[in-house]
Amino acid sequence: MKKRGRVASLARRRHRVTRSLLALPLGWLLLFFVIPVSLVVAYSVGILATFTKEEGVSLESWRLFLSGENVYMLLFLKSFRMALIVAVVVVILAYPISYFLAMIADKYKYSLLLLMIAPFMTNFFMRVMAWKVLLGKQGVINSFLFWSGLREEGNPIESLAFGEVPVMIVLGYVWIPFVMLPMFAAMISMDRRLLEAAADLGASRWRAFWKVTFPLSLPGVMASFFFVFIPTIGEFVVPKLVGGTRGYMFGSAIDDLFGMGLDWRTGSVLSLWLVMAVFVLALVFMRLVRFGRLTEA
Amino acid sequence: MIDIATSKWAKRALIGIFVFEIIFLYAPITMLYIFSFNEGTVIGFPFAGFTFDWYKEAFTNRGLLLSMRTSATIALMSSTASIVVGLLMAIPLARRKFKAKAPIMALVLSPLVVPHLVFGVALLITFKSVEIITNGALEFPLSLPSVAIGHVVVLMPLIVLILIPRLQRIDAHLEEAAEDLGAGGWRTFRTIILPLIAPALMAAYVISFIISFNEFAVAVFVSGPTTTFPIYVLAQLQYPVDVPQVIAISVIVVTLSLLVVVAAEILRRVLERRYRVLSQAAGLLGVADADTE
Repeated sequence: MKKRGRVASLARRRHRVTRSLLALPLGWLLLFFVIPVSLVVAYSVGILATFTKEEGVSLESWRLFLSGENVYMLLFLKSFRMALIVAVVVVILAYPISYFLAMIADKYKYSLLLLMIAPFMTNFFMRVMAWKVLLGKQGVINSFLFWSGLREEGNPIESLAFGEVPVMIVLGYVWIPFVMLPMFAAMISMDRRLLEAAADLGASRWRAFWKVTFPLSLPGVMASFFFVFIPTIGEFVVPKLVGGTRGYMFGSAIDDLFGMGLDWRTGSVLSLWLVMAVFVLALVFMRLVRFGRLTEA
Repeated sequence: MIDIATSKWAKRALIGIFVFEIIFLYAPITMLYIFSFNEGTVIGFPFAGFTFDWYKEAFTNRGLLLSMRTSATIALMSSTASIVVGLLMAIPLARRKFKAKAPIMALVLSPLVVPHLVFGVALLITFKSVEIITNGALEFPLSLPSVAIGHVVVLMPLIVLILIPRLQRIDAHLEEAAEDLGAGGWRTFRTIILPLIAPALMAAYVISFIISFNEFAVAVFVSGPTTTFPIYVLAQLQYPVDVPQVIAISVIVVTLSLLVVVAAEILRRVLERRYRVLSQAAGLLGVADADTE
């Protein structure tokens, strides 16, 4: 009886402590994350406005965007496609590396992993700059071609300089090290005995991979995909540096709408749309993976 | 016993892919190192000659140095604050049971799915709306603290994700034993939990500092007239006047970040090893084994 009383009071105390521990971080998130995002919603329908010229409360900015009367919907589709390509290619490139590190590299795995992610710890612009040095009409690749006589002076490979292609190359490059981590984590936490069991039951390596390793690594693959997709679809710096006019993305439009103070209201609409798109895609993916598991069983 | 994970040929192919991608990752960075010593101002072949001038000039460039100091200050503020709030958040999430756990976890992780650009814009609107609502009587100054506030939101989910697995590995009996011996909550935390998560805390701090120092998308919207290091670098890249200097400084920054990362990793290993030896010794003596690995 006495003991139970003590346990109960301990539980009560812990409960109180839990609440007071959570107060500060939750307050912070409320004040500087939940409220800001809500204010974007308010701004997009005109409840909040900075500039007096902006008309009153209405869904007009949403209508203009969704009906495709301004260019932004087209821009969104283009950026969505680019982000999809970059994310898929990068995940495919990083998957074998994660597999190598998690399943084969053995005692060297953490050193090699560090070698892979170390570039990620350097400044984003430095890595972009490194590519600007390589690409570009006067860049290392083109100037090397002139210098060695492989290509005539004044006739550089134009597509290397500006446009969608360099934007995607640079973004892919920037994300590869980061993308490996969730897949690596999924594979390393996998129970190796499952593979042994598969082998004992007569499965070939190929079959064991597709039936055991691959399904178990899927959550990691999904996390990796979003790690690239989310920043890529909201990207606005890389297009500025190597995109030119053809590499202009949805994020560039948001940046310009706010940065140049042109039209915060449309900017708010586009920002929310971006978050919604990411969110819906995440839901769809989670459904797919769960559904895949069900059919397996 | 055969290795079910790979055949000999698959292993060779995977090593090949690994080496190829390492080259792909490091080649552009190597290029920065090479061109930081190039005498010409045009970045390209042929090489104009060898020089150290860009390094010398970079170290006397006031704007560049100032922007680095600004970013270091912001990084110090935001990583310190986010370690505190992240730890406050991670402890209950990892070690306590309560009803609202799942929604709170979702809320903490939600900044991860919002592109930084959108979050930066949202913060800008928030800070500006202070002015709008009070009819211009109050103004939220856009400067170093406003950037740091934003960075804490960005860093918090990452820190929580780093700390939770480490906290979960601590045996609950240790805490109970401490409480049975009369230790209060704070003392239990300080003498049991804190030493055990010290390596993870350090790793989280280093990662937060580096991310905050290099963060651009949030900073550019809420920094006002303040020039952080990434903002300075971007301006240089767009309107190049001092590009060779920026390359020189970026070589230094890259080298420093690599050194910090490697040093932190080595230190983490040493700490982990010492901790493992201790817990093994404790296990031999019949004390509850702290390490469940």
